[in-house]
Amino acid sequence: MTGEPAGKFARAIEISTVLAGHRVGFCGYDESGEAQEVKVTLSDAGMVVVPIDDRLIAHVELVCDAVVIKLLNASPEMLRAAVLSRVPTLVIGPSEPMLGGASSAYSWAWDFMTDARSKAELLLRIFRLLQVARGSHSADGPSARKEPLVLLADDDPDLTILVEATLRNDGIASRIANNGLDTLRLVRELLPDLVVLDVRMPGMDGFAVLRTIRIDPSLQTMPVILLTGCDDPDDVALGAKLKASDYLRKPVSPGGLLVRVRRSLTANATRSTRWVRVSPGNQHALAGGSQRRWIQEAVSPEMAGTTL
Amino acid sequence: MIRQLVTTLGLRFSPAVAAEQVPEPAGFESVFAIDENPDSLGAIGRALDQDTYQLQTVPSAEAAKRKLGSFRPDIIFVAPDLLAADGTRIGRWLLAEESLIRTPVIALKPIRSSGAAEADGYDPYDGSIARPIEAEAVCERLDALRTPVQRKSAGKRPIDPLVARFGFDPEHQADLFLAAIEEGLPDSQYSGTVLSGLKQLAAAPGAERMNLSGCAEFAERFAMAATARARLRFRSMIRICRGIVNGDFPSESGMADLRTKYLARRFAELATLEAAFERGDYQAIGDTGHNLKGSGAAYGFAELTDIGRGLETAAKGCDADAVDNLLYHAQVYLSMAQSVFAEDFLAARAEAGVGSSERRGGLKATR
Repeated sequence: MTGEPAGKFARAIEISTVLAGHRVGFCGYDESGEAQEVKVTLSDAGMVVVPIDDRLIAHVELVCDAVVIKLLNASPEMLRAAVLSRVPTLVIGPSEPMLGGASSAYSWAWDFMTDARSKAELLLRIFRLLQVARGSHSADGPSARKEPLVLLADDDPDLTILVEATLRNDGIASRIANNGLDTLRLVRELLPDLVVLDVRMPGMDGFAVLRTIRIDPSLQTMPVILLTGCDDPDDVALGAKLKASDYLRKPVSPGGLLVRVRRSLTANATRSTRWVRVSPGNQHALAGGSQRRWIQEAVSPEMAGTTL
Repeated sequence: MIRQLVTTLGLRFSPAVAAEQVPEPAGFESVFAIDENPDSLGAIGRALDQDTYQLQTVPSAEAAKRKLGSFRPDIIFVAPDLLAADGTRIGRWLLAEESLIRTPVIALKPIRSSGAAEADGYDPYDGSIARPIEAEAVCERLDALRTPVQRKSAGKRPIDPLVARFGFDPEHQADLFLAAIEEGLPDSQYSGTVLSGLKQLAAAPGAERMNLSGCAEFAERFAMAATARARLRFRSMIRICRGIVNGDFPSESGMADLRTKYLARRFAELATLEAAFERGDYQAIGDTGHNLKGSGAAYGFAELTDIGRGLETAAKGCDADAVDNLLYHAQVYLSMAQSVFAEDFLAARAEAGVGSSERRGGLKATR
């Protein structure tokens, strides 16, 4: 793939769909030989052209959460930016001897791998980089929240408004995404306790979103309730194959959805935290006057799997 | 079970079903035909020569509107797509005219397309006659109108009068009663038991909450009207009543406001849908129908979900007739729903202190 433009590179490895929602820059080399700019193909926003000037590093940090550099294609300026920036970088080289391990000239890279590795391996490495990049966001994660957070992904605002109000009345916070890419972005930013995901959405449908979530090692155990207005029985099968936690057909009553949401939140014992709804009998033990309360319990891995 | 309950209450149990009152349609005397095609008018005239009808014809929508200002025919034949000066189609105008709700309207149309099954139940016309019009078809249609609805749909069970008592466990009883009506449609609409039961339901203590009494009165108004429009309205209102009794309309904090806004948005959307229909944009109609299907019943409006499903299917098949019928019914249904859940009523309800825990219609036992 020597000399291929960055966009082609990204397309060639066919991972842009899987990475949609991430800000991964694929950096290539302008073959004109008189490069005054670096082309960065972002997995969620097409190609961004970053000028080679004093602001190159700042630009790279601004537009990318992680950078993949194919060594033979990379311009010296891009390499310099990667070295100096704080953006986690994966370097792909032609052979192990050239990369030479951590003591080599490319020890600045966060990770490196050879061309010969599989696509799945590449994805895993990229997700690992993104996990590193996300480290600073951990304060927004589940452990910092006082109430469970549900991400509602549906392009129909009439439905999301209603469900949001229903959940709020039950003491459950929610955020709304109205397309597939927004959903992926918010899933990664917020790490919600549950995603209620519409299948039919513009751009990227719910199945593609779910598939991406299940591939991402840091998200693959996240509970997802699929919500769909489609009557195709194959959808149910596909949902099950993608390990959806639950499957609801539209129209769904707010009360019915609330029951499923509660069930998913309380049954989700595979993660490090879980949400427990306080029953009316013991709610007086808690401060405040809310009729419905959720408390967060930290559970050890050994406890994971125990039922409430 | 019911027998046991009634015995406990000391009521007299009678398995006999009250005589069903069937409205016998009067013989049609005056017929009004609206069509710019003289051949069609001629065919209708030839058909009516064989009987005792008085025929009046007009060739334009404007002339029809003027004439109907002072004249109430017994039956109307209309070419529904004739345009009035303001761009409205005469068919829609006739169907929307409340003063004509009891007058059968027969559409003169090109041969109907295959039609979406979901939309078949929403035809607001009392039948249609395919062009070119033949005298026999006109006679057949008139004969069909003379046949009471009950004779056309044999096999439906009449409503047990016992169901229409709301003294003991009124919510459950109201649900049974309304379910029996819905199951027995269209026959049940013309039952004396239903009429008296609706009167009782409207007057039942607590029925004013969520405007159940208003719904029952509204349904009662159409109970004996033998036109397709009246049947559609009756069915829709019974479904709304059932939704209220079953607590399908969310009543938690803030939900009333959401519902009002939802209905307002649907009205606005209707104008968009009509525009899409005029320009033949079935993709937009299908997409909107899909969303309506998903959201309608979530807000308690199960019929909007059905309409949305019908629109989605009709749009797939580019079925103009079906889309037209569904859009008309959506307009009618939204008007009815808005009158039931009008803001002033909701405000009055809030003042009355109807709490968030009250999910059901709030009928009170009167024992």
